[in-house]
Amino acid sequence: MCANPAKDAMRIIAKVLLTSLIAILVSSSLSPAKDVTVEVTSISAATVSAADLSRSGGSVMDSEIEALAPKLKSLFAYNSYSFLGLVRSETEFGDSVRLELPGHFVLEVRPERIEKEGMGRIEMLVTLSKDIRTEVAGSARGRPREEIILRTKIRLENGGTVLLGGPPISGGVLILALSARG
Amino acid sequence: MKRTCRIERYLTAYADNELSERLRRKVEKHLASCGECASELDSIRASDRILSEAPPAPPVTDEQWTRFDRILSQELDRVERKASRPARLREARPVHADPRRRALAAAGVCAVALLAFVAIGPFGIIGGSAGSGGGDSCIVESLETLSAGYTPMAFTSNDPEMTIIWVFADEVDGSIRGNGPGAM
Repeated sequence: MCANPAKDAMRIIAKVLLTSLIAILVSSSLSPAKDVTVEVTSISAATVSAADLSRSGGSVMDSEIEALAPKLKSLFAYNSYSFLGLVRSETEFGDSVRLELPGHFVLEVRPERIEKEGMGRIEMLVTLSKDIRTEVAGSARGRPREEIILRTKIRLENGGTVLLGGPPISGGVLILALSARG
Repeated sequence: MKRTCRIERYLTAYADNELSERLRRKVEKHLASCGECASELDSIRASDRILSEAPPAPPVTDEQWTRFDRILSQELDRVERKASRPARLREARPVHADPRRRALAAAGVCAVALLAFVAIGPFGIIGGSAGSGGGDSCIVESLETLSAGYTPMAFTSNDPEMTIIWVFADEVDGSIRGNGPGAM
């Protein structure tokens, strides 16, 4: 008795599909996956003090933030922007980075993951606190206590910038330009 | 497997237990001494197991087969004409009479479809557009403060494109243009 052609045909189909599947799995395991190629996120925060000095007739725009100046001027009603500092750090996904800012502010950033699709947004938890020192009996230096002003979860475009601001600082308000790049 | 192995043609029927007693014994005797045929038999049985576990394939309509045969026949005719070997035309068998060829072609189509799905499908290994990703450079998922005297809010500006998370402090007037309290 001869072979069954229909069964032979099905077997050929199964073999081809299996071979294709194995080839796909092998190739995908050899090629680096997008979500594991980026393991470290670079975080930077430029700190600016913004104030309205129009009553005193003054107007300040520090040279360090000239690149940001047009955006700041069109977004906010202040006429004076003083650059207070720039901090940078790197951290792995899932870990937190703590950035000490001027005015006893502390920015804690924890990148959680980078999206595989679209803009490749970086999802991160951002906490802005203020270090408030309280006097402790018998201690000259006091004990730091942090007041959490803001806690937010954002999905920031890879290499993008978000502005955080509002809390008072040295006669003006704090504005942070927070950037992340994975 | 060696092409000269005449038992090869019986292996499928043997695997399906469709051979006569005499042929079955003949195949078994051959399998005892031919490792390649034994290996091929293992492969056939493995395929059978996979097929038995696989979900049923969607039915192919007669219309689809007819169309497929017509296209393939046209393509074969074109190749034959290009080769300028009229004698081979007489040898060509009707495509629909060879289920193996049809199966190979169908398997090729399925393989390409599978490759395409795995490559660019929703879980694709090749990156694609994220669909409705939106144009905002920053999406604020959640927002809170744990201190009295602060009220956080998020704003999005289109020109320039920028997301602003502003913490309104009781002691300071907000100064976002056109938005927050105290805006100018």
